[in-house]
Order: sequence, then C-alpha cells, then structure tokens
Amino acid sequence: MTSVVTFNTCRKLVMDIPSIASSCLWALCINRNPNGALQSCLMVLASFRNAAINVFKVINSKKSHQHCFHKPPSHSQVRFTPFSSHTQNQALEIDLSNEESKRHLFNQLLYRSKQRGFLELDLVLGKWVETGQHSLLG
Amino acid sequence: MWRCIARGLRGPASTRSTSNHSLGSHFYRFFSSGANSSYTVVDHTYDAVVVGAGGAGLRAAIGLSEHGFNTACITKLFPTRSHTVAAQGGINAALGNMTEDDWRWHMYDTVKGSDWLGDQDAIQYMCREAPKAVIELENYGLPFSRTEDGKIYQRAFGGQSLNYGKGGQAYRCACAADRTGHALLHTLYGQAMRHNTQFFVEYFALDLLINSDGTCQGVIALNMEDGTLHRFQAASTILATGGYGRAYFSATSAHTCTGDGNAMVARAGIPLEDLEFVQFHPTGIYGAGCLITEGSRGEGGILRNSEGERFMERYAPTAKDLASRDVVSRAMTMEIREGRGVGPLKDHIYLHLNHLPPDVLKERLPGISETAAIFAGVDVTKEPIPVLPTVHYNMGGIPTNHYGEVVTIKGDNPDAVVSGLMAAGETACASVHGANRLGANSLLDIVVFGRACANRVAEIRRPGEKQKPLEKDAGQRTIAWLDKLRNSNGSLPTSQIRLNMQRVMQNNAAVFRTQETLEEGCQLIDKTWESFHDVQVKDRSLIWNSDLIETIELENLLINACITMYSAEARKESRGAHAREDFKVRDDGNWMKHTVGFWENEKVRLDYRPVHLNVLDDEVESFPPKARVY
Repeated sequence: MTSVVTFNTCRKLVMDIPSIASSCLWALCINRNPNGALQSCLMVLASFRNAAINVFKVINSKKSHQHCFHKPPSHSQVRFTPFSSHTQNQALEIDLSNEESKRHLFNQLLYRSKQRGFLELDLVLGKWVETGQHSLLG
Repeated sequence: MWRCIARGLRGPASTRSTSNHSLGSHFYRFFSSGANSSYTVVDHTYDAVVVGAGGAGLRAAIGLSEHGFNTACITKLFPTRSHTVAAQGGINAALGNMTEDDWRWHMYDTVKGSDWLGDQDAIQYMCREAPKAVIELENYGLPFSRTEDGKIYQRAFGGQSLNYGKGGQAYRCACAADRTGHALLHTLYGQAMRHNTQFFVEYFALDLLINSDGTCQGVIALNMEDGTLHRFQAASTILATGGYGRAYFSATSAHTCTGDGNAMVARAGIPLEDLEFVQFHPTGIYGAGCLITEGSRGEGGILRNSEGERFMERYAPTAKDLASRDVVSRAMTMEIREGRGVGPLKDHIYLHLNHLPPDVLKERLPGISETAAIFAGVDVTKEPIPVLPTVHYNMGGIPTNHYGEVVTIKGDNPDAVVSGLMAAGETACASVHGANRLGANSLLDIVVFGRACANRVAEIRRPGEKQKPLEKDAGQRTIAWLDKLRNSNGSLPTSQIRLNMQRVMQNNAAVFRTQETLEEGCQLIDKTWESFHDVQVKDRSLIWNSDLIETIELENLLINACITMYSAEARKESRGAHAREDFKVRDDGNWMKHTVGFWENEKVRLDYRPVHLNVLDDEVESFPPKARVY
C-alpha cells in the first residue's frame, strides 16, 4: 500500500512550529513556577506530537487516502508571494513509503526545528525532532 | 515590472541552454556548466542583493526598496528566525527622555568602552544617527515601552554615563520590555512585507561573485529545497549574516551563527578584522550555552572547583563571586586549565545555589531555576549548575567604513573600498565596538549600519542601472568546491571535526590567553583545519542535505576560528576583551591598530591598518586615548 501525503499538509505541520515554539517560549516567560513552566513546555511539545500523529493517522487511513493526492490549483488561483521558495504552485507529493522522499521531509523538519533564532528553542525543538524521527514519520 | 522568480527544475541532472541572452533583461536563464553539468544554475539580476534577513539585513532591504532599488534578500532561514530575535537588552540612543542626554556623551562612552580601538568617525556616525534611527523604528511600529507621559522608556545600562563620564548614570537604552530584539525583528519583517523586496528563503549563500578587477558582482547560492544553484547578479551586495559564535564550544548564539558572510569574504581574498576580540559571559550552562544571569551570583551563588573550593576568594578577595565578568571568566578558565575543573573531562565549573533558601530561589531567581532544570537537568535546590565562560558577541568581522562599504588594504591605502560590496550588523566591523562592545550597542549597530548601507547605495547608484555582465566562469570555482565537498569520502564526520574545533577555541582562545596557550592553539587549529580534508559527507543528495549544509558551515567556522586564533596570538597586549596574562597592559604605542587576517592558500596572513582617531566634522572633538578604568 502506497502512502501519499501532500506537501501542503506537511508544510502546514512545519509552519506550525513557530507558533508552538512561541507557545513554549511564552510558557517559559510567564510561568513563575519552575515545575509549572516545564510542565507547560512539555504539554506544548506533547500537543505538537499529537498533531503530528493525527496528521499521519489521516494519511494512513484507507478512507482518506484517495483525497490526499494533491491537485495543483489553477493558474488564476496562484497568489503572488515575495518568498520564492514557498510558492503554492511548487507543491509536491511526498511518498512516505519512498525512503528518499521520507528522508527529505525529515531533513526539512529537522533543519527548521534547529533554526529557531533562540538558542533555547534550537535545543528544545531540535533535539525533540531529532530523537523522535521514527515515531514522527512512522 | 516583471519580477525574476526562480523556478528550479526538479531533477538535478536536467540542463537547458539559452542563447542570445539580453544583458538588460531580468528574465532568468539556465545554462550547462561543462565539467559541472550535473548542477542546474539559474541566473537572476537585481539592483541590490542582501545576504541575511536578520535585523541588519531587513533594515538594509527596507531602505533599498524605499529608494526604489530592485532588491533580493537571500536567507538560509525564515527571517523571523534570525538570531536578532533573541536580543533582550535594548537599543542605545541619546533621546534624552529620562534625563538630559547628548549623542556626544554616548560617543564618548562607546569610544571608552571600545578601549580606544573603535574608529571614532564610525562611532560618531552611529551615535549621531542613533536618535533618528530609533524614531524611524518607532514610526515603523516598534512597540517601545513607554514612560508615564508617553515617551519611549529608556533604562540604565553598564558603561553609560552623562557629561563625558562625569555626570553620573545615563538612561539611554530604549527597550520593548525585555524582548527588544524580538520586537525589532518582527517590526522590520512587517515593513519588509510592505516593500518591493523579493525574498529567497532557505537559500544558502555560498560565495561572492568577484570579477577580475576585484569588483563584487553578486553571490552564488544553493536552494536547499530543490538543489539548484542560483547566481544573483547585483551592482551592490550587502552581507548581513551575523556572528560566528558557534566556533566556540559554549556560545549563547543560535545555531545559525556560523560566520558564513565572514568566510565568503575571506575566501574572496578580503581580510577579516579584529577577530581576536570576542566577548564572553562567565556563566553559560555547560553543553547548552544558555545564559545564567549574574543575578544568580548577586543573590549569593558560589562558584566551586573540583576540590569544593570557593576559588574566587583567591582571585578577587573583596568582590569574590561578584567580581567583574572578565575577572570571573579568567578565574574559571585558570581553574580548568590547572586541572581543577569538574565533570568527566574536568572542563567546567559548578555554580552552587543549593545553599540558598528555596524561598529565595523561587522568589528571586525563578527564571534561572527553570533554565537550569530544562537545559542542565538539575534541581538548583539540591545540585550545582555546571557552567562555563560562554561567547556572547564577536566584535570583529568584515572591515567596513562608516558608510558600510567593505574596505581592504591595497598598496599604501589601508581603506581601499571593495567596489560593490558592503556589510552591516555583527558580521561587519565598522569598528564601532572596537575591543569591547558597550552594552545595548549591538542592536544600534544593526539598525544604523543596515540603514547606512541602503543610504550609501542610493548615493552612488541608480535603480535599473546597466550592469557589467558576469564573467564567463563566474561561480565555477564555487561549483567545483561544492561538488568536491558533497562527494567527500573521508573518515571524519562533520560533527567530530566541529567538536574538535570548538574544544580548541574554548581551551586556547577563550578568556585566558597567554603565549603558551595561543601558540598551542595555533598548532591545534591548524591540525583541525587539516583534518577537514578528511571530512565525510554521507548524504549525496542536493535536496535538504543538512549533512552538506553543516559541512559548509563547518568550513566557514574553521576559517573564522583560524583567523581568530592567529590574530589573538599576534596581539602582544591586553585590550578590551583580549586579555593576556603575559602582557597585562594596553600598549598604544605598538598596538593602536586593527588586526586584519587574510585567508590565503589555507593559511592565515596577518597585517594591520590604523585606527581612525579622526572624527567626521567639527560637531565633536576626537577623544584622545586614556587608560580604561571603571
């Protein structure tokens, strides 16, 4: 059975990282209780993991499979963006049964997770993704 | 106007050639590159290209677009993930909102803080422009903290004084709570969205495109997402790639701070300036680098060595653990070098807070308790925190004048401008920080010189100007180098070489410097550089090849590290952040000069250029050197 996921689905997952990172940082900033802050941080990361698991549950569902294929939007729907590497019409299909494709996705997730601007977030998110690669991508 | 939008081909082996390419066209073209035919190369033409999208890069890009230049911004990560986001303290400007103030007093403090190694013309420019730059940021929407009557709130910072050091504490640091860098970066990002700047996100800048007469015509970059190479031709190239803190084992910098711009310049035959001046904070968490603030020692924290001794009593009998940063850092390093460090490698020190009442820790040091728990895995009520002197800022970088133009030594001229190339931010060395950076001047440097670069381009260029075509072989050496690196089949993984480099820099070129340690350091860093020839890159892909990217970053760090080590060994004096145990005094007679380090044939060659003691005009007089005491 071939498992296919659209790039947009994975990209959304990757793009959620900033908000999760911000939530993590926020928990660190506002929570005066050390254990509470740590728990809040872990809860945020747990939410991220749950979101990732849910995405891949949908991907692997037989019922959903046929709806996961990406259909490129028509030209008139393409919206201009100043970011050349994130144009919508460059959406890709990623086949998780293909090791090369899976590795590319993981590398992308890992790169972005380790490049958060704050050293603290580089460490927390980067190491989490690095150690969780197997469970994250199945 | 049609914009040049790159659409890389999916297959790395695909090639296509186009003939009769119009020099004035902004359309892209593909071409096959002979021996490197497996690489797809896309050409772009802009009026200006900015490398780096942190505070300095964004500010430059905004300014360029405001002046009507067709501008590209190349960045290896999303702009709001630049390390500028982490800056907390604030941005200095003599606004006079809290007390009377004057930019000349700010200039005096900056010159003094630089230990007179700063170029006074550039410092004058920065301090005089500071209020304007801050007001512009306010107009862009930066949410500064406010006084009760609505003015920008400013707080005190160390080393800031009124009336040339005679008038007491200055309140000069404009801030947005304790997240000024975050606010600044997001404000500039928002402004960049309003302007005509084309962003190339997750493109890794590899090298400058320097033509045969020494003019910079742009950069060549790798699109990490699809593996295509891109030549960006531009009349003006502005580097804003940040510091190189990751060359050291312990650094507060984000992992993106790998000195890429510095290395690009060095590979192009242009020197790097004053790399020996590196600022340290005494207490970063061992292995992670996260900062443990001095507040912990202020509340009674004690540093102890492996023998349980409170060793600061020996080094600073009166102040003990509350001695200044440099004294504490050197003492810690001396303990480690003499074998009294803690841990399996005896390479760090314990900071004890566990003798303090838990209520005090909870009430006064909650952030530190959290940080220690998360990043060191210790409960501060029961265990000590492992700490190490940690790199905080790099004063040195790409030499520039006060316009932001890159300069080099050419014949008898120590300030020869490299046509087409500029730099701003931590990667640059306008030498406003000199030998030691004044607190809260780093964000100011970023904004003022990012802005200065744009203004200078507007003075000397016109939008849409015809550009001299790229030479036929532009970028070929870089492609060959990339190919060789990608196919490296040695025995040493990148991570091992990187750790070796970081250990050498931490052990031999951190805060404790003597002829013995630095000579050894030069030998060791040379060996580490040699070992890079045996690097192993396992991943051969061009798509999201983080192994390759980290290897390129490692080469960039190694170049910075080598020049830093040799520059420090050569400077036989103590000045600012460069403190030597064997040359304890500042020596203005012999060493009032900037070190410049060339990277030639994989070796460091040092030369020197004079410090600018002159000022720009008669609005202020130059400050003659005097001993730096506090």
